[in-house]
Amino acid sequence: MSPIDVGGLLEELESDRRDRGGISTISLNVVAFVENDEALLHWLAESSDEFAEAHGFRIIVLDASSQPVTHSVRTHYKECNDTLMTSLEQVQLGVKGISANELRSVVHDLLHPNVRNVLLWGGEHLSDERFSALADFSQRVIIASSRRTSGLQALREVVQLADTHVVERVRDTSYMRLLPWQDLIAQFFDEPDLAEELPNLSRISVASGSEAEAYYLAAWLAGRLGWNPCGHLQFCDASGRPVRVDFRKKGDPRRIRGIELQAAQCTFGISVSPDADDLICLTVNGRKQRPVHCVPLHDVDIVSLVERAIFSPDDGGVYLETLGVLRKLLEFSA
Amino acid sequence: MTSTVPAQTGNGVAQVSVNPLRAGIESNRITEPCTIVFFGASGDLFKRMLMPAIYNLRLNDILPANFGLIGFARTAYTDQQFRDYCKQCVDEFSRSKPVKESLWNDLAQRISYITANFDDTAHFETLAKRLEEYEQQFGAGHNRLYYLATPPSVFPKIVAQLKKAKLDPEHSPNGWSRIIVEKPFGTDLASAQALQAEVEKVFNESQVYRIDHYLGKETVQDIMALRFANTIFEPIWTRNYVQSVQITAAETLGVENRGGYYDNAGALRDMIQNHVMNLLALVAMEPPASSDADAIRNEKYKVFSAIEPPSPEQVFQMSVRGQYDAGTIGGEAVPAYRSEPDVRPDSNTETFAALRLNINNWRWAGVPFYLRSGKRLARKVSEIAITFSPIPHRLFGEKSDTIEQNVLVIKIQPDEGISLRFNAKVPGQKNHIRSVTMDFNYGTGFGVQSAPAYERLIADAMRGDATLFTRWDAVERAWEIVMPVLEVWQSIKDRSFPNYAAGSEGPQAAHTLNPGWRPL
Repeated sequence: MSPIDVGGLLEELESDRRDRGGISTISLNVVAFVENDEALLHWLAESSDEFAEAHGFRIIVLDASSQPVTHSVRTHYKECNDTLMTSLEQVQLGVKGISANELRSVVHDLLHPNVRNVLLWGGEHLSDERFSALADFSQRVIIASSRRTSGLQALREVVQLADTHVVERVRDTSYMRLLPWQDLIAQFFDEPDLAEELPNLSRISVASGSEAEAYYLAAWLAGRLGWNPCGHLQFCDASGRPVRVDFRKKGDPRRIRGIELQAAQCTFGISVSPDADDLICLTVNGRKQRPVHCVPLHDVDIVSLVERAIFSPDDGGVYLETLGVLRKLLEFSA
Repeated sequence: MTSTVPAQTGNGVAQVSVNPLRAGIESNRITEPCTIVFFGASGDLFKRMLMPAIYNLRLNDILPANFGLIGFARTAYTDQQFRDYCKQCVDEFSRSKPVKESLWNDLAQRISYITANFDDTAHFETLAKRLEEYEQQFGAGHNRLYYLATPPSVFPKIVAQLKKAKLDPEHSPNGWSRIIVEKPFGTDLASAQALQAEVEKVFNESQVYRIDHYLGKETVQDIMALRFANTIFEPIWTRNYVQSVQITAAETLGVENRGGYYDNAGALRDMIQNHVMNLLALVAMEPPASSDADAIRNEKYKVFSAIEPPSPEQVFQMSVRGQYDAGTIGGEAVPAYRSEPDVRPDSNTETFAALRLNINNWRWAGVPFYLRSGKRLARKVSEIAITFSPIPHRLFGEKSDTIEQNVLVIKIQPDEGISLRFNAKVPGQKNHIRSVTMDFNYGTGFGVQSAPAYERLIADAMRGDATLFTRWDAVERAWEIVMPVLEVWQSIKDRSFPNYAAGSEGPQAAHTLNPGWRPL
């Protein structure tokens, strides 16, 4: 028999809602699994109210470091046209020592019915049985591969997901954080004259606080341009011409500071402005030189990143393609 | 590596390359280079709306990489003085304050100014030279967007000067030239037609963007989403279920510092002929065949063509006018309209207008559309209320219960959202029925603040998307509809003016026109 009184927890939620008029805006379940990470637990507690202002949701926080006797229930309301509405229902449970199957059953019973389920995975390993058990009933699975380590081990675990049926539902916030940089790279080649240089790229240089970002970016670029990994940090295009990837450690972990793409006739540069940390400048030097163009760097906060991970539409298979390339690239980096 | 896809162009089908890195990456950035020229850049509209919009477009990385801005107006500024003025506009009126210095420095170097007289061709030749320099200096290409933020009286002059200085589309074969024209487009049917005649000597219809900032509001755009992205509303959106439609654009403000302009315009010209008529078209139009600009604008025009303008004899049965007297708003005493600065003391200008229009087609025959707009009313509110027919047979409710009709309200401002009124049984032994509302609020529903309309509209004009701009045929037809009212009102002075107190619901006669107005 489970030490967790699911019925009692549901009754607590129901009674609280009844006392406040019974109206709720809950339209989403978030299951957050947290293991040995006080900071993440703290962040969840702090951010839930903010998130609930935009999206009513029930969050079930599974604290894998605490015993099952520990639990708490909390609700948050917002007022709209003089009516109180429950916008957040939070249940926090200690789940240390609970088996994967039992966890699946408990969580399943605690979910708000008929709404979308999202798993926010803050466990140690993606190979954990509890990950598969919880991912099973989740329409979206959010991971943060670089949360614990900036090394390549986290990426190796992510690429293993490609063998599972979960992979199409996975969003890695570490990859999503690269989206503004991908957009800036793409921006060069929106111009037809510069797009002619795409087949002539010969070197990619990434300056960032950790290596994983360089791998992710390079794998994305290679996937899009049809290059295959053919050596340590090296790709070959369809004709066998090599494209080299250079990584230079600079700045804080998980943050990119600059990217340079070397083509036959010009060099494309994206870098944080030396004058202001919140500005990114794009340069094209060489035969097709262009005026320097600077754009603001919108540092996306974690709540917004998670929001995007939950609601962003499918990317047409680009992430899966990136994982495929990344897997081969990592094989050369063993 | 870069693939090509067929694309429709003005000259037929061409092959354009597709950037493979764009797959899966959503971007709002405008890709084509462009220089925007603001005529009337020292004016109030530029200061409060346009410059803050440009800054926010840059802040959100929507402006093209190769972009330039040239101010062109009478006030004497050097380039640096104008840049300082622009920064001051952003600091004071932008929704993103304070100015991000690093970003501003990048934007400021792309801004310059020409002190000009609109009568002097030499100043337009200076503009031509400046545009050439911008194309060299900032790679702004040969794409030019001219924004007429001037009084309407100088629109024809500017358009003619652009042609003389060879800045018209005919002399710009290597890029596009578009013109944004602020409302009002004419002051009556004849002046609108005369203005159009001048504009079309230089620009064809696809190059003219007549701005009505109401159409740039998120909630106005949501009218089409509500109707055509849901299946539950459209089947009942007809004369078979709808009893009446009310469109209200009410303000608590008076004429502020626009007394001179307003006294020659009035509520009918200032609001009804453009903003309110556009809302009517969005509510009443048939589903367009596609989301293409012309498909939508064709349907809007069809609505206007199905409205029969009132005959002079019908004007007083189908319309009501009002002018505000002194009163109290928000606990503060406010003066009568005739005591406002720059307003004639015996002014016959209406500050309130209400109309009843009929749309003579299969969908709407017999359903009255009530339109009203006014200043110094009890509450600031813009909304569309669709009142459905009463139930055909009463089954529930005690005798004392009023079974209210269902009402769907599309709230445009200041609250943005949708509200549906329906009846429900009051809990208890008795069968009491009471009306309740189901509310959707944009702010709490999406947790985002809507961007000001001008940001969306300027960006759309740069992209060449005319969906949210008014086509000439619709402008002309809207004038045709209101002209009989305008002419009768102008020819017969209303001796009851002022006929409503500031802070009230408007003139009493409005309730004779429609006893069912929603309270303000």
